[in-house]
Order: sequence, then structure tokens, then C-alpha cells
Amino acid sequence: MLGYTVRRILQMVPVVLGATFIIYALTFLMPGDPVAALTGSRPLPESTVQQIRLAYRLDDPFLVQYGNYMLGLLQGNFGIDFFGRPVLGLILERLPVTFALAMTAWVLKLAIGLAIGVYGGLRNGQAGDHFALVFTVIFLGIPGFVIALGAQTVFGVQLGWVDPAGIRAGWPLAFILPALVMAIEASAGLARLTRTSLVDVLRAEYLRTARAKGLSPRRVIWGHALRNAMIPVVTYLGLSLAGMLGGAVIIEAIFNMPGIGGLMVTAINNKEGTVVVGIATMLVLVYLVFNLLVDLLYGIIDPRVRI
Amino acid sequence: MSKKKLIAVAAASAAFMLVASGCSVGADAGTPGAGTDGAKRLSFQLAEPTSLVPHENPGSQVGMATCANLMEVNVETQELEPLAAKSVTSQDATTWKIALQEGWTFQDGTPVTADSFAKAWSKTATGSNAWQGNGSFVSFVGYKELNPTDGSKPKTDSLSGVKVIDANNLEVTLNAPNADFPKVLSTSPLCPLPEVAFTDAKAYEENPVSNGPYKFVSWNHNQEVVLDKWDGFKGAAGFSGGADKLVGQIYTAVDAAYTDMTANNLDMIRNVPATMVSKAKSQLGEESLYEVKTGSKQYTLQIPEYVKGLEDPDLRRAISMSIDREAIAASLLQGYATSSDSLVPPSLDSYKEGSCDSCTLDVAGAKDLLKKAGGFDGTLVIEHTSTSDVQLVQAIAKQIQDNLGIKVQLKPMLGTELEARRNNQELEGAVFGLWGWSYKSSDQYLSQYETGGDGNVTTGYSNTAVDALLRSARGEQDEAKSAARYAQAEALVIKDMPAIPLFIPTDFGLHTKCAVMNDAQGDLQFYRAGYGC
Repeated sequence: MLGYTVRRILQMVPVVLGATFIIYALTFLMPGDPVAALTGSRPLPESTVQQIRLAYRLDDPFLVQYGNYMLGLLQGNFGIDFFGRPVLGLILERLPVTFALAMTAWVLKLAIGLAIGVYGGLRNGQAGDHFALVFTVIFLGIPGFVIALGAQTVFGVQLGWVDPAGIRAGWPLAFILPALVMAIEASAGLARLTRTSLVDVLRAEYLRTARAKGLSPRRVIWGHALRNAMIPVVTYLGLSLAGMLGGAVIIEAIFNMPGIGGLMVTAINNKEGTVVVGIATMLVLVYLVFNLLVDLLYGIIDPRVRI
Repeated sequence: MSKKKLIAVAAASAAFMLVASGCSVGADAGTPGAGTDGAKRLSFQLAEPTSLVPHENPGSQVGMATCANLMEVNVETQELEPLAAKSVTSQDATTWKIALQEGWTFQDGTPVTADSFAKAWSKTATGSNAWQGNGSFVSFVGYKELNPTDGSKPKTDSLSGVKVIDANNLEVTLNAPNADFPKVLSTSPLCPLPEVAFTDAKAYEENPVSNGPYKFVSWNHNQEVVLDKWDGFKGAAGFSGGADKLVGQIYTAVDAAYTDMTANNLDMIRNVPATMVSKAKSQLGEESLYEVKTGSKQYTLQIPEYVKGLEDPDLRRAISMSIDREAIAASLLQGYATSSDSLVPPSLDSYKEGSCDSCTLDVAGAKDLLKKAGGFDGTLVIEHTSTSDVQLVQAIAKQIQDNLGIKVQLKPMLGTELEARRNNQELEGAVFGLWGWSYKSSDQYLSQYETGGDGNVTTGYSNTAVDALLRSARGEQDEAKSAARYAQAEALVIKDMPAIPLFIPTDFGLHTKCAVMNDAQGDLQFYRAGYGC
């Protein structure tokens, strides 16, 4: 298992290199001039523009710029943005917010999705199953931002249970509502997957065998059915956590959470290559690490997979 | 590993991650300072500042509140008056003598001297510092030496046009006469800096000290900036505000700020979009709106001189006459704009009503002019930013197309791309844009039509008669005479129509009952708000 882990970590190197190269190239190719974004419609004097271009080496060829950036990155230097602020600082300032939001949402999603999925799976074809189906269809059908804006108005403005915007109240109070919105939306998919997987497993021959051996129904369900049904679910859960870290842009904007998503959008608009690539590199790393963790977890759940 | 252990591990790691992140999030947030209850506290909408130092981030509400400039607009009189200066005078509008108020200090107790200004200006004017206020010093003697265009290191580190006479007297020499110089002195890049800003620049960035009515208390990144009223401020009430504590709450979008205001968590918003004005009227009530009385902005359709096929002034007039400004202002802009008939807004002295005689809808007249111009069989391209006022451009394009029968193509793009095309003169057609002043002066609008003037790069319009008139107007210290010359210049420019005037938008602020908003000659500044509870 150790050898496998080391191999997987080594495989990450070309992936990270390739991903940063593509993202850096895309930012570079984007039309527009980053220096122009500094002052809006009043152009800076030509000499200042030149000084800035020199200071940030914007006139170097693409490969030289990329090479310089990667050299810095290897030394742990993420570079600075066009206002002279270190990019790493900008990311670290915002990372805890995104992390707290994603983790809270993920845990809530786990609870809601698994509960509904298992309930529906065990009550296959009965009223309870239909209820689970209706729930998932509703929340898969309504766009996330509609749920978000609705929840914000009802719980934030009208009932006043939580602040509708911002994180002044800190964790958990300021994070519950946005996390719940994210969780409800995402739990629909999880519930579906869990239900289908469980229904499949319940029909499997080894379960008939288990029942025939005289095992108690409880043992059959908890010890055999659920464990096997969880294998595809774990893959999904691991990757969805990585996805949640990068994909909360809309929720962050609606609830005014100063996370990574908002930083990324501003950086793309201003064509700030160092910020865009910095965030992307970090998200790629997070994704790879979670992917690895999922694969390692496989071996634990499913003894047939030996790594 | 058994299933039970697995679940336990998963739960434990999730809990650990939550606790770990929970500790670092909001740990120091939401703790209003002790004893602030009952204080006159006002909050305002803010975007995460790129810097709190006004020279680096001009136009920042925090920078304005913390700095007392030599000249400032007094909101009670709405006039530009000396603040940190005792007097600002000149015989020829080229060499300016500035006498400072005696005995004024920074918030850390160190004295405000002529050096505090001279050193701050030299640092801002040095191009390699890449401070955004740099452009304010182009007209100073010595600017060129600090900003060599060949990328070499400047040989000096100070503006030769700024002379420190003694602790309380300064002399500034400009490249050319400019009667607006006292107005320039009221802008953020001209603020003074205390000694500590030079000895420990890095620490100063996070903990700035200035000489204004409010002093910086704390900056919780991405959440809030807190300012306290400074009791050492010696300026009149018209230069300050009514709140004892100002809290800039940081929002990424105005919608989130609005929602927070409906939940009673925010006192002031500025630059309210037209669509939000109507919503606020019904949700928060008419009394929540503050209408800025001085219109300082203008929408135009500028036509670069270098674009082929659009040179004929008759064609430009025809395009202008095919736009129904009244209808768009009433419907799409919901009445929160007036149609514009001059290259300057009506709030300026040089404005002459009806200066543009082809700025009202006249479909038949437009078609006649188009015929006179020899028709137009190409495509009129209109470039604009994809992020703002898209519907407005679409409405204008549709009217030109329908009323004039010519093909119009819209080219929306990101702001960075449009700026680059504008500055490199790569536009393929007309460009839709919004212009505003940094201080109230006709020069701020008309310099766009002066060869090499501020903003001239967009159209590249050049007319020696206009250049001469603008130079002479700028050097004239008699306001009436100066305004007359600006008006003459405007009348000349509009004949060639390098820009089609469209609308003067009405600016709105939103506020709660406690915040009594004020604007300084059209600029809504949060720190000027009075306290009404």
C-alpha cells in the first residue's frame, strides 16, 4: 500500500505541471490587457504602464513568463497580484471560509442524502420510496440559486434567524444556511445513487445466501447490504467534496462569503494570471489528494480490491 | 477495518476538519468593540480594498475619510474650500503658493508639514512604485524625470516642480497654466503622508495613519474596515460627518449588500443600479433613497477618428438623431436619467442648453442627413463591456437600426479587453461608455477632445482651434471667462461629433433612517453622512 501511495503521489507531478501549463496558457491567451484593468476608463500615463509591464515582466514571451512562474512556485512563491499583494496571502485569507463552507455542506449532505437514500432503498416500491423520489426530483429540478435566494429571504430577512449576508457571526451560525442550501441540492443526487445501489445489492444472490444461512434481517442489511452498496457511494462522496471546494461560487456570491470562488471570478475578469493559476493549482492538488484518499478507502471497504 | 471503525474514523476526521476550520473562521469577527453600544455607529457598503493608502487606491471611501486634503469640498456650502491649507494662490496659474494651516498634526501626533506633502507626492509620482495615483502628477514639472519612458531607472527621487519653502509653505510649478489646480489638490493622490509611511512602508499599509476626520482602527480582511472619529481633527463640520464610528462592511456584490440592508444590517449603499432603485422604493420606502443633486456622469457613444467609413459629421448626426433618448430614459432607465444634449453635463458652468442640435429624435431628418452623407452601406459596430448596461446598448442599437435602416452589430467584451482596444486604438467602430469627473470641472470632460489630453486616446480627435481654446480656458483664473471659453470649445467639437451625447444618469444612494447621506459636488462620500437617530 505504501508503494502504491508513493507511485500515485509521483503521478501527481505531471498532472499538476500539465494543469498549470494549460491554465496559464489560457489566461495568457485571454483577450485584454491586465494593466488596463487597473484604472478603468481613465488610462494610466504611458510611462506608468511601461513601468508596470516591466515590473511584472508582461512583455516577456509566454514560455519565459511561465518558466519564471513555475520556478517561483517551486520555491513556494505564488507571486504577487497587480496591487502588489502576495497571491498566497490572498488565497490563505479566503481558503478557511471556502473550506468551512464546503465541509459543513458536505457533512450535511452526507446526513441528508444517506438517510433518504437508505430509507428509499429499504422501502423499495413502497410509499416511503415514492416520497424519497419526489424529494429528490424537486431539489434536482429547482436551480440552486433559486433555493439560495428563497432561503436567504425567508430565514435571513423575514424571520431574521441568521444574517442574510456575510460571515460576521462566524462558524457555525453564518455557515449553516448557505451550507444547508448546498447540501439539499447535492443530497438529491447522493440519495438517488444510494437508493439504486442498495436496491441492486438487496437483489444480489449473496444476500439470499446470507438470509438462507439464517442471519437476522438487521445483520443482513447493516453488515452485508449496506457495506456493499456503499462502494460506488464512497467514490462519489470523495470526489464531490473536492468539487464543493471549487464549486461554491454562486452560493458564495449570494451569501457574501469571502471565499475562493469570488476571488477566482475577480481575478479572471482582471486577467490576473498569477491569481488564477495559483487558485487553480491549489484546487487541482486538493482534487488529486481526495482522489487518492478515495482509492485508498476502497481497499478498506472492499477487501477484493487489494492495493 | 470494520465498518464501525470506518464510520468512526470518517466522523472523527470530519469533526476535526470542522473544528480546525471553525477556529480560523470568524474567530475575531462579529465582536463589536466594548462600549460601542449607544455610540453613533454607521455602516457602509465596501469592496475589499486593494489598499487603504489613498495614493495607491484613489477613490476609496476609506482613504477619503482618513485624509484631509489641502482643498476639499465643504458639504454645507458645496464649495471647494481650503482645509489643510490656509491659502492656495497663484498669479499665473502655473506657479502655485500653498500655505498650510499651522499646528495641524497627523493622528499619531506628528506634525503635518510641507514635507509631508512633498515627499508623498514624489513617491506617488514615481512610476516604478506603480501607485495608481501616479497620473495625477503628469502636469507637474519634474514628472518626466521620474518616469523615463525607456524603462531606465530615474536619476532623481523627487518632483523638481515641488519646492518646500519652509515647514508651512510649499511652491508647486506646473508644466502649463491650470486654474483647476486647487481642485486637483482635493483628490486622493494629493494627500499627505506621515513620516512613518516612509520609514516602515509595509507596516503602514496595514495600519495607516493620516490627518483626516476619521482614523483607521482595524481591517478584518474580506469582512470589515472600522474607522473612529478622530477628535484631533481641526476642520469645520462641513468637512466631516456625524458618526462616531464608521464600519465599512465588505461585500462582493451590491445585491448581497441590498439584502443585508433589508435585514437591517447595513446603513448605506452608493452607486445603486437603476433596477434596484425601483425595488428599494417599494421594499424600503421612498425615504430610503438619496438622490444626488449634481449630475456628474454622462453616457456617450464615442466615434474614433481612425475608424473608416464613420468620418462624415452628417452621418454621425444622422445616427444621433435616430436615437429616441426620451423613450429610453423613461422606459429602460425607469426615469432615472435625462437625455443629454451637450458634451458636458448641465451641472457645469460651460454647459449650454441645446448645444447639440441633433441630439433629439427626428427620423425624417436623420434619413435626409444620411442621404446627404452619401448613405452608409457598411455595418456600424458598437463595442461595449459585457458586464454593465448591456440592455441599454441593445436598445440604442435597435433604434439606430430601425430608424435609420442601417446594419448595427454589437461587440460585447470584458472590460480589460475593451480598455486595451481603446488604449491601443484598435476599436472597429463606435464605443459605448460612461464618463465621470474626478473633480467638478469642464476640463475633466473636454480634455477628451484635446490632442493628447486625458481620455483623448479613445477618439484620437484633434483640432488645433479646440486645443488653443482649451489651453486658454484652463489657464484663466476668472471662472466666468474660463467657462465661456470652454463653452466655445465645446461648440466647436460638437460640430464634428467625435462623441454622441446620450444620457445624464441620476445617481442614488440607499440609506437607513440613522444615516443622513451627503454628497460633495455630486460625489456621494460615506464619511460625510450625518447621524439622524
